[in-house]
Amino acid sequence: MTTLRFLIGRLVALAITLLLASMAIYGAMFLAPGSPLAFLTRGRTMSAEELDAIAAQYHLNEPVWRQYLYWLGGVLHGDLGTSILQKAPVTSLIGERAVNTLWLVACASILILTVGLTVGIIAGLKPGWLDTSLMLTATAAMAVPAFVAAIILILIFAVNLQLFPVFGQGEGFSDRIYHLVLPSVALALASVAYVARLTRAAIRSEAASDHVQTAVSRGLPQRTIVSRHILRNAMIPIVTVAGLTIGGLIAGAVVIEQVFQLNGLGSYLVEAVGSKDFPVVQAISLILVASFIVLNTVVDLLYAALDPRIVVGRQHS
Amino acid sequence: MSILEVQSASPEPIEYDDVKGQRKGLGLTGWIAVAVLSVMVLITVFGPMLYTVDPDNISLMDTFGPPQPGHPLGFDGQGRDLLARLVVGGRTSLLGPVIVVIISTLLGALLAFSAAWIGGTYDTVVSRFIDTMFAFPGLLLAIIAVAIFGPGLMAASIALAIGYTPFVARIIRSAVLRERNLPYVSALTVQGLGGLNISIRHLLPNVAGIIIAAATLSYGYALIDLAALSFIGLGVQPPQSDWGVMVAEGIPGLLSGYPQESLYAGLCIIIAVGAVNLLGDRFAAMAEEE
Repeated sequence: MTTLRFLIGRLVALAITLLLASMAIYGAMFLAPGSPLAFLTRGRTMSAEELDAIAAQYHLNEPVWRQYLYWLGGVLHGDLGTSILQKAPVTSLIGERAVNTLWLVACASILILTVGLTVGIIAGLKPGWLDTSLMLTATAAMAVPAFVAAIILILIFAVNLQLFPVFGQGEGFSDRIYHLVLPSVALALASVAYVARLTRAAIRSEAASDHVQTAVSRGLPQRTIVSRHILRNAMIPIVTVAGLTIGGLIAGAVVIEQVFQLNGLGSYLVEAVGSKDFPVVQAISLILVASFIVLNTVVDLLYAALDPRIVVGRQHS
Repeated sequence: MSILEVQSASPEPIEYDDVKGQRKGLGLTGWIAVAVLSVMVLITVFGPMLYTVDPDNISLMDTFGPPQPGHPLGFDGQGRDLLARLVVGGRTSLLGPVIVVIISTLLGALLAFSAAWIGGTYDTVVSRFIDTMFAFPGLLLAIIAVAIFGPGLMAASIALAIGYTPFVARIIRSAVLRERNLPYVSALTVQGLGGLNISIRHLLPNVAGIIIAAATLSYGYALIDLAALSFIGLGVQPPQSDWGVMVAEGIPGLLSGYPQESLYAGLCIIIAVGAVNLLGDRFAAMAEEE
């Protein structure tokens, strides 16, 4: 019962957040100087029919709230509008690009979860020179922006050693992975360092806690203490931050796709901003923000699964 | 509850205080970070007066030219002096984030203080708003702003600041809430002081350390995001110089064996962000020690 209420509460919050975010993205258009029609068609010479088509698409002759509802209704039915430049449905334009972005983010996430957690756990459990040097490296890596990491990786591994391709997304599974090695390392680098540092800190603070001391004095084997007492509890803050960090990759992907000329949502977003194709900007922003919100909710639920106290606690408050 | 608090607040043994005393203040790394940042700021402010080479002067004879007397770092792909462009580019790269930090810290503090003090429905609404804002990565917000207002730093910086506000607000709000529950605040309330008065005269100085730490860390993020925005061509517009623009402009050179421009500009960003992050970490640790 408690769990069900918690679940419903989270889902309602998810729906509200999605709704507010969609309003913000739609409303942004009205911040532009001048009329919405002038904004949408900025800098283009268009025939009267084309102008009418855009006005009709956005229902510009109706009140703003109805315009929004029409747009939202379309979005919920999978209609993300029509590109002004390509004169084609945005949904069909971004399908393949979304897959490319998903691949990039997925590869980077795997790196963060495997390398970040492993480094953090090793550093956390084994104080000493290894710990110190790992954490120094991590601190330095956190200062490297993804696009700077990208050009350094390109210089070393693509130009000098010629091990990896510089541009493009490749064909087929293995070629795709091969093309994504440098982009995903560049995208994940700072987050790997961040998650590693956080993991180490969580493990250190857990290892120093009373219940672990008790477990040690009870003579439990080291392996049990580490897996049952330290890791399980340390996982709680780590899951939250790892989730948020992976959400942050969505924005980082925009920059990385641009460097490596990957044909993804991010590079298309930048292209659409440059060519003033606002329906595309709107649609991609909505997709990126919505996936971030959904991911956050998933993390929240995962968090509750790891720590049942959260479900109970919410009910009392 | 109150007994526990009193006990934990009682003076610790002297040796313990001494051990902690070594970590008080900025520490060696903190001071190194301050020194590095000061040098960078001084160079970008006064550099152009001392190093008078024109950063926009194109000399096609010197395309990708190596360092030579009077041009210690050599030339970029258009034959412009690299050192002059780095120094001038540093101005926008280091100054832009200041705007972001000022706006987001002011907005965040305002939201946090009012939410923590007024509480009730207002607090719930503000928290809900903060949660929604979290869904917009700062960089994405800046890109949307550029889509609406056109390329450049101004709209992008404001959008970025709005994107950072929830982070700052959340940190400050929890600090203010913690402070609010301390006995001295109740004592002040009993003495008849108003919420605004207590917030400004008593709470603000006590959470100042946390606000400074949050502002410093967000400066580092803002530097990265603004440079990234210029890098993808939506921020500072060439031929104006900026570290992000220089990393992007250097890519053709990088692919054909002249990586200097991208590397030098990238290195400047890494050093600045690294120093700021170290300083922010020290500030956060100092705020916690209090």
